[in-house]
Amino acid sequence: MNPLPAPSRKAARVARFAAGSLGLFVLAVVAWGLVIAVVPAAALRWEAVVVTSGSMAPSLRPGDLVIAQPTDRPTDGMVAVFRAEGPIALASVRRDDDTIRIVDARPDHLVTHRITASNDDGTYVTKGDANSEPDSDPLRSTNVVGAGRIRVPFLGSPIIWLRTGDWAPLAFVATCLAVCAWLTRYAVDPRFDPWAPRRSSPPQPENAASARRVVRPWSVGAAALGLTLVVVPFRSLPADAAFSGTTGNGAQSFTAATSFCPGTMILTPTADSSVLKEDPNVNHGTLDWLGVRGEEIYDERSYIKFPLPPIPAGCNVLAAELKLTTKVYLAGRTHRVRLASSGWAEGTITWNNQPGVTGPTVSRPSSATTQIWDVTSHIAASYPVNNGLVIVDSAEGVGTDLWQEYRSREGATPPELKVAYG
Amino acid sequence: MDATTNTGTGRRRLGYVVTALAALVVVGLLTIEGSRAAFSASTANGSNTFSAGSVTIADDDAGSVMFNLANMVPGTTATKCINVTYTGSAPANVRMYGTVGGTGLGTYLDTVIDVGTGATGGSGLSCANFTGGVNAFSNTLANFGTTHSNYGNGNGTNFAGATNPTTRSYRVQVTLQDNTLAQGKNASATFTWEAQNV
Repeated sequence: MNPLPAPSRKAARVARFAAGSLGLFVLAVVAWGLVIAVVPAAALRWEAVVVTSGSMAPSLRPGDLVIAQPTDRPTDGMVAVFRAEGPIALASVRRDDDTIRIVDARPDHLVTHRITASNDDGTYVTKGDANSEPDSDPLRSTNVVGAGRIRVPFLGSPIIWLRTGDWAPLAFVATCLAVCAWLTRYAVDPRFDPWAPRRSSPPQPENAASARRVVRPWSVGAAALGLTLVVVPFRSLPADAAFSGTTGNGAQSFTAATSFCPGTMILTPTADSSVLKEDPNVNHGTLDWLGVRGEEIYDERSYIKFPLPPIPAGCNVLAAELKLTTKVYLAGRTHRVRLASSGWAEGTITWNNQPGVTGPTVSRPSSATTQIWDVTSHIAASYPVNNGLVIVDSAEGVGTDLWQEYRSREGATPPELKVAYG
Repeated sequence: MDATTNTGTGRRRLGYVVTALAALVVVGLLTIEGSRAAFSASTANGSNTFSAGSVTIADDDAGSVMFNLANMVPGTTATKCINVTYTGSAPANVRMYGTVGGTGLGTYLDTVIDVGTGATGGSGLSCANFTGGVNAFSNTLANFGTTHSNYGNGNGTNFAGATNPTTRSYRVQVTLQDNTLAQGKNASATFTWEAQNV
């Protein structure tokens, strides 16, 4: 007869049995979890979904299985599994004025969020427990798949890993389960029974009947492992959904003026110059006076240009006054204001290249102090092309020593144009 | 032989039956407790965690608004720059879109948006050092709100396939058209930048 196993061998067998039992325990945990998940789904047509994001943390965590009971009566506080119509925040945080949201933007995907309020129109407000903001789209009761009833922790993780191609944890868990499955033989195979009487060790091959009777539960465990890793009949949130975040710059404000008409404004010239017939090719743009003279051979004229503002359609020149201050006074003359017929420049204009005069005429007798002309029609005619004003003596080409000077824009009291728009 | 074998087998069987039952108890407790915590009617307060955070985007405006223009007349113009930074873990496309409201001034606000880099930005929204601009939009503000209203039709010029971190400077210029029909009108707008992983 074989000797009884030594105590040390007995202890080793018990230890092996314990390891086998541990493996069996792990497999049993997985198997029971699957049973709990599958039975209501199969027997009662409840829905099993895998939580893929942390938006319901800490209640639900990624990898959890949620078994949902179909319901058509959502209530506040209920964790609902529903089909989302719009982007659903998987996580959000409020920071200053910017709300950064991470949303699953896929249309028509399943989401597990909590109902936080009912709207008057029969829809519901949903929100992830971990989110600071509710979901943007209201939930319609027709989109409710069910109310969360059972949560099986972790069991959906392999599905997430499969979806995301996260092979490292998948391989790790698979290896662990495979090891557990292999270990189970020490718990369930009679040949390794630490309490069985020992005939020989290892078991003799001639004991054919016994060998055939050997249960090989590790193969059953391997099958369970396969079941776990193969896509089980769970509807899962696609973990590869597009995540997104937003930032913004809000509340831009633009207000147009009540009227684009400038109102009343006083302008000073941007250009003025006398032209002298006695110096027909000389430019006098920098002088501090503007001469006006009517003589046999020494006629003088003065050109003035004001920076007229652009005016929109419907805005009109209501009134315009040209005001010049006298520098050298000559009594008894009549000075006319007209329009230049084309463009000119202060630094180049001369008697010989002057544009000439055109348009309306307004005349005033010469004044010892200041002179004001009503140039409303002139300014109105200066839109859209503004060639400036011309001051001329009413009697050019006759008489002697008949000149008057006004102060130019280079002088102490420059010309002014007061214009009222409306 | 049989008696002793049965005794040993009985212990062994008892062992794994107990193991299986213990597993059921553990799973049951985990499930029941987890379900009770998860599906009780109390709403947990937002803990502001980024459990799934793989896409994050932020700007540097520090709460400032780009445009706050009053009493605009034809030709009134303003140019502002904002830096938008993507720091997500996966490559993403960033697109700009907005909403435009108000009483109709948006139709008369010519808007030009260029996407470049380097702008000083900040709360002053300064365009100093803006460089490498690529024109992203040139039309009216109202048109922007119509044609770029969400991520789907958002403007993704010069900000595709962004990796962590990528910063772009958005230069926005707004000019009021010369049209009396714009008198007295106003417009409001929000600009949003959204990143979605590729």
